[in-house]
Amino acid sequence: MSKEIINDEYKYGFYTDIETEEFPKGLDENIVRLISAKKDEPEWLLESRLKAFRLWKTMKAPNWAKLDVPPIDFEDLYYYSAPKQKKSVDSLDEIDPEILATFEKLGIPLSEQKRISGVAVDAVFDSVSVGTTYKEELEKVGVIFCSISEAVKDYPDLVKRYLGTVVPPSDNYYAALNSAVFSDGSFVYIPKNVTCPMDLSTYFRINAKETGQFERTLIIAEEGSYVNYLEGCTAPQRDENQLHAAIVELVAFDNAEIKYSTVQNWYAGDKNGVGGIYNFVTKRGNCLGVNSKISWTQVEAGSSITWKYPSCNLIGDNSQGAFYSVALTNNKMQADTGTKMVHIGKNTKSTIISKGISAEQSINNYRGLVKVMPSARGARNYSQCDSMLVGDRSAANTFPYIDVKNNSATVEHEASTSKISEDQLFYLQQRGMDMEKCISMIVNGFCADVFKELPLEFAVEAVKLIEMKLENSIG
Amino acid sequence: MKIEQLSENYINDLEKFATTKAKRMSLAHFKKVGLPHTKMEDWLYTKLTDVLPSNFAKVESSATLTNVKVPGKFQIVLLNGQYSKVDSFIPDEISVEIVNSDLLDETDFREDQKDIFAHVNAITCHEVIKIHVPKNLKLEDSISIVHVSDFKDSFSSPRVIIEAEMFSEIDFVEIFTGVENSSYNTNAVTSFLVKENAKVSHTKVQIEGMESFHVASVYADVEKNATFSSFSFSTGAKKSRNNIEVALKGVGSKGNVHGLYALTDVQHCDNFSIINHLVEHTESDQLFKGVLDGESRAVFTGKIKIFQDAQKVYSEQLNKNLLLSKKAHIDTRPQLEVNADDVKCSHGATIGQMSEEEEFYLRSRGLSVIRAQKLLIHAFCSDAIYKVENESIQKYLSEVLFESFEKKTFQQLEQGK
Repeated sequence: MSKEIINDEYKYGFYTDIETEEFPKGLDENIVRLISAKKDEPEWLLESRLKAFRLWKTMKAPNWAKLDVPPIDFEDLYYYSAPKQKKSVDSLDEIDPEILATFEKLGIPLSEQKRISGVAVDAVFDSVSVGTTYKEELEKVGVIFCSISEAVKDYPDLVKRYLGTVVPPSDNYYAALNSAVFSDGSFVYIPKNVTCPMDLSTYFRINAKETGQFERTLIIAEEGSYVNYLEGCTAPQRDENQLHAAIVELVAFDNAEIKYSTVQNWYAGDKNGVGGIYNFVTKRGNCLGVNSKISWTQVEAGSSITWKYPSCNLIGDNSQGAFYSVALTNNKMQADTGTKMVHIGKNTKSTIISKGISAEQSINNYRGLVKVMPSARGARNYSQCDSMLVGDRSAANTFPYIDVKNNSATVEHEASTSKISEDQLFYLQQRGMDMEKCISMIVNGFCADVFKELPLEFAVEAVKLIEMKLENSIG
Repeated sequence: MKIEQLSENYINDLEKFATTKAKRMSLAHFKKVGLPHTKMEDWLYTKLTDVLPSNFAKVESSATLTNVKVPGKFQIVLLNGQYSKVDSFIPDEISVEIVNSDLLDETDFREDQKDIFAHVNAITCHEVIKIHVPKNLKLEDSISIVHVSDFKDSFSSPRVIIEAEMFSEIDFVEIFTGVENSSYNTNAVTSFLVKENAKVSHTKVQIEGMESFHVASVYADVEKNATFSSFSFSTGAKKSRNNIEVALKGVGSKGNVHGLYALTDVQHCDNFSIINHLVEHTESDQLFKGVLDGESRAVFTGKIKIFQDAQKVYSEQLNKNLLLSKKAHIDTRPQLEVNADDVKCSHGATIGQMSEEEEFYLRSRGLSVIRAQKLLIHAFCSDAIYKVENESIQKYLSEVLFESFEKKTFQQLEQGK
């Protein structure tokens, strides 16, 4: 799969022509009711959607990020788009072969015969989940892995108890919007003392035109459990901008650990910044239990505008949060990304490693908050944010916010910004390597701290992705 | 009182002061922006409603100079923002001009003054002190500018404009003080123009009374191959805010923006600095250190901006904080904005307590716990003070630090708090 990625153009820019079912454009209470009705949702969920929608109406889009976001016409979007299919899909054979082919083309084999990687996949196509693999095997150990719509039907108590507890609708503008119109996403429940036997993965694909994708992911790790979760995303190449406003909520109880990795490769627009996805995502994890652990690893290489801050609330004593990020921007991309670590419990620990690469005329911002509350005795944080500039019209900014209300905390922040060192280039070149190879080696070395946190397949893909993106950026 | 209401009050009062075109321009700006509040990114952590006077009535000056120590032999004294000739002692080589603020035009009030308090100062300042340092003058002894205030229900608004000609070398020490136990207000502006190859240092010593509110803005334009070094030492006032903005405008120019804050009780100190690298081959260095005791709170915002085409820039920034008590609170934002690729920038921030290892080391050499802790606190602060090049100013700062902070804190250490 990874070999094929080395192409100049955006490889995933194709469009699958299938019959879809769409709700009319625009957003009002009726659309919210329609979405809810379409999914046969219980009354409480509809109520919470409507509440979120009313709240969203009163809110304003955030403007504090150093981003130039053109106004979004929320009336000119489809809020629900789904491939037409039979009422319910019992086995993967019943899925539209066109969709299967699409995922095949993306390198995500849904057909279970091809058990190559041993990763369970939930594939989300526009607004709905089209299939989840390895369900039975997971069920044997009690792991629930399904689309959130199924979870609402099959495990309403679990969903009701946790949905919106980590990211309430009032959190921010896009969170409120998502809470009102979210369509589908993944639901994961790992029971007590279970180590999930395989990596779980969700693949998001935007296909339809002029739609917004609003997915919702909820992962619950009970006491002593462990899960490794991966997420990938692509979209067709189009001249218009498309909105993607997702929410991801993680909950970890005593001694549980959740590892969440993302390789984000939405379509980023062309050389002149035309088209591309607006990626406005709220991701947050609550380390509720003692010794719980949540780590976010992300490789952000796509989207024309990224606004994303995967965060951890470290509530349980001795809980740990980590954020590893590589953000690459080229052409006219803009990224404002980082993390929030809120230390509440005693002896909580957080690590932030952020690597930004900014090429051509792009803007790459790191924005992060480390907050240590008075209750977090003995809290510890280490942050490192490095930026690399490629091209003299690129910009790299670092905006850390450190707020400490406690004298037993130790907080360190380090950051540096520079271009690729001439010395390093010279050294590699005199060993007989060509320029392009030298640069890719240096960039890989620069990102190594983050890549080593990724699962193997993702790490390989990430390396290729970065190489491909930089190919035309360096003179 | 709500901040909007206060702004309204201020506008009404400021109208009376805005007698010239330049002042009216600043007033227009004030009308547009109003008083700062915590919804503004630059004022995120500093609330002013509890310290601002409710109106802006003009009151008579009554401050008198009561034995303020200065590091060198020269001094310029301003009482409630007005020049006091009898108390001042100025070297012959330097010209000091006292100008009525009504005679000034917009160019005298710097156009790029960003902070709203600098605009308020422009409207309300009475006299402006213009200091001119002639070409090639190298003065060994420092010149102290002493501000004494006791203005209540209003701000004393001193404004000093300093112009250093080519190849001159000079050190300024600006001391802000006032009466204890009185809730007076100071709003000062000091601006520098450092011309080619000149070397100017500015050490600001803020030892205002513990009930006062202090806000000060320092602006510097640095030309080709010139160096401007600022050191801002804050240990007084109930609430204080320092705005420092250095513009490195000439090739080869250098800006040092250092500082130290040592706070106790419920003191609140906000340091806000911007270093603009406008052209290539510029260099900046920043070290801010802070010791916080009691329920004090400090804010540090350091912005380093590297403009497009400002290549070959070298910049370092560091903010280190030592928290001595459970209730001390620090917010720090070291920020980098880089728009050129051939640069080397780094920044960092640390927050911590006294290192057990260091304490153990000293104790293993036979020092008592208290002695070891005293030594560590003193060493932590001295690290910043040594950034000031002039040794007599260094010595002076150490003395002030002891008098206004260490004495009290050490006493508490001895009593076991």
